[in-house]
Amino acid sequence: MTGAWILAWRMRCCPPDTAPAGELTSELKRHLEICPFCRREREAPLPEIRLDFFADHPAEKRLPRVGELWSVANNLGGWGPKQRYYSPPVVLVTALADQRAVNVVQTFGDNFLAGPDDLLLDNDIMGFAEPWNRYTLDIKDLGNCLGTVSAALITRLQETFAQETVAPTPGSLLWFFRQMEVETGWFFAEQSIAGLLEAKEAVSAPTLLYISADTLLADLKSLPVTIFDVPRCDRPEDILANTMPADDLLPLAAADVEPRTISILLFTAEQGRIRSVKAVTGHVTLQYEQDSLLRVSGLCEACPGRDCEWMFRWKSRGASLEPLPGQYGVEDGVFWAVFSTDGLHDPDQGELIVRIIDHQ
Amino acid sequence: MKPADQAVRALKSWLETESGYGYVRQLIERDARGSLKDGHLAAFPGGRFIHDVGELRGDMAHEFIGYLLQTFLPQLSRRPDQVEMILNGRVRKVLEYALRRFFWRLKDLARRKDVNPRAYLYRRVREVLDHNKRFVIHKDVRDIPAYSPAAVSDELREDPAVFSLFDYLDWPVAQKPGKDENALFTANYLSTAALAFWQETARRLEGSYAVPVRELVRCLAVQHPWINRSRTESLSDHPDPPGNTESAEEQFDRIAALNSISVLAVQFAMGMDEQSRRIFLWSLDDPKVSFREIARRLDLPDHNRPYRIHRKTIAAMKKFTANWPGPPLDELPEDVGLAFIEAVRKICKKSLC
Repeated sequence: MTGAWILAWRMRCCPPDTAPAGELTSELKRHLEICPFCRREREAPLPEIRLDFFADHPAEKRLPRVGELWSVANNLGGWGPKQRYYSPPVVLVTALADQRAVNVVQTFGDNFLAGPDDLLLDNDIMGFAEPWNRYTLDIKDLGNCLGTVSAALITRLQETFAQETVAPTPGSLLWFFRQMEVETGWFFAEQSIAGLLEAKEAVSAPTLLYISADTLLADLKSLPVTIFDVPRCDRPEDILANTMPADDLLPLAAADVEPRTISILLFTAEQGRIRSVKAVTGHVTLQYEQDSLLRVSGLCEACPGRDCEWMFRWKSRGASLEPLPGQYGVEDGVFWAVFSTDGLHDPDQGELIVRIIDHQ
Repeated sequence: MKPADQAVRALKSWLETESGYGYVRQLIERDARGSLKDGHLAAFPGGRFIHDVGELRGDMAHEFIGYLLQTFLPQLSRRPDQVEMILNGRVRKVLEYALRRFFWRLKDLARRKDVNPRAYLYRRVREVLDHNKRFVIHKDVRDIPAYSPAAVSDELREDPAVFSLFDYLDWPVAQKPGKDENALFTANYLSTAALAFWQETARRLEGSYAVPVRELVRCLAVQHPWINRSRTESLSDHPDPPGNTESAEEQFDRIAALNSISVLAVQFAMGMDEQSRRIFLWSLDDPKVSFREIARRLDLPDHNRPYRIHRKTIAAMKKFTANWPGPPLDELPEDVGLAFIEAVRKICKKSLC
């Protein structure tokens, strides 16, 4: 197992082959402090290997499809947090989020490090998919298509998203490995999403068209909802986040029977104005706080169509957190969001608010 | 051409050149040192009969190139992450990966029932005892697994040396398992034999001992001499298993390792030299050994030197645990830190035995 870990570390955390023996940059110096393998490379360097095709090896340019394994573009790799060099992982496309983005799960090639929630790849491909490590990437940040898994595996993966996962024990090798994988994914997703957000801002998507909070409040007044904290809200999304379903809108099942069940408000909007609302049942299947990041995912029982706007908030002790930019998504009714919990006391103690606006 | 095909073709062409062979030879020279010591060579053709390490490395380089060309490259397209690393010029890491697999295969072959029945028996006994609640597995200071019946596990003596006195020729262990060779490896037979062997050691040593697992295997090997036979073969006769397969034993070993912190401790301890390991161990002694006494034991001029070395080790440990995957050590439950320090202590102790 030591060998498996060393290879995982080398693959995910160490710089390119010739770097350890090269110029001693500040990043390399700091990496050498924690990496005995690169120290050995520096002390007993081996020559550089040059294969013939390097100069003209072109990246594949076509749209990805669900079920395909793609590398993340090499140009996103580089030095990053924790004295590591981040090399692009291979990801499995699970959904086309829109014309520019894909939802992916990260994969790892060595089955030695597969845990109980991981799904082994099929179609004679080695490795496993990490259902607990999924994110969104800009399509332009994909590199090469490296294979395809079966449709059955994608279905199983999507079923896994909706299931509650058991987190490994802190301090176990499996736990360390998963931390490393999530940190790797985060490094690439964060960069890729920054580009997506810029592009999204430039494109007009259907949205609410309220010029004042009063108009929205007036529209909501006729609906079976209650609004809290009105004076503190001026943006429409803040008002909707503070809108709670009236009792007669709630399902008959008592909330305390299933403590992880939430009521999601599904608003219908016509020409940018809210016209109706209904409550749908949701289930929080994963809630995991670490490194000041809270990851929450769950399942919406009655999933509306694709052109919906989803809003997420984490409410904890009077604070209302928005997800980190671009760090939320929805796929076939399965939703996820990541919140920064910096400065919050007991951030885990809170409530997930989900609001959907269906633009007709 | 598909990326995988490009990668395979480019790597194959390079391996067939003189510089490819020279490189592989250098890699073996540098990285095989540990494996040569580990005794994984039972399955290596002629490995146990070659006394010249240089010659062995040369043979191993040839065998490894054969493994790369005949086994690893034909299956490379099944490994998307390796293909991508080749396309991005991280070929050395792919070769490190292949070398590791090559050693795994050697080790695996060395423990296979048909190739090395005795090594297989050891593995099987470990598995049976681990799964049987009537027994408890202990590890001594050198990390050697020993066992005892669960009922007496609190009052045991540990002294592996006493067992070297026995030749096991006339020991009654358990009923003969029958004519079928496979009967020797059944859980039922091995559990009975393990209990009988433990009782016999208690009788002869007049006390309850944690019995090293390898002593039970040695005893069985004396009574069933056929398990000492072994045959060596080329790896190319045993290609990597197809698909994502894993035997029950492999799964058992793997899951046990996934629950431990020791691999992180190994990574940290790789950066410690012999002197810093000794000082680290003495600093954990109860009662603590003074730096003045450590300086005397290590023949150092004064106490400042071991103090500085120890401070450096602690600073390196803080840096390592602040940058390891996940939150830094001081944000984790206390038992994680204790387990990590204990694992480092064990590794240091074992390396100095």
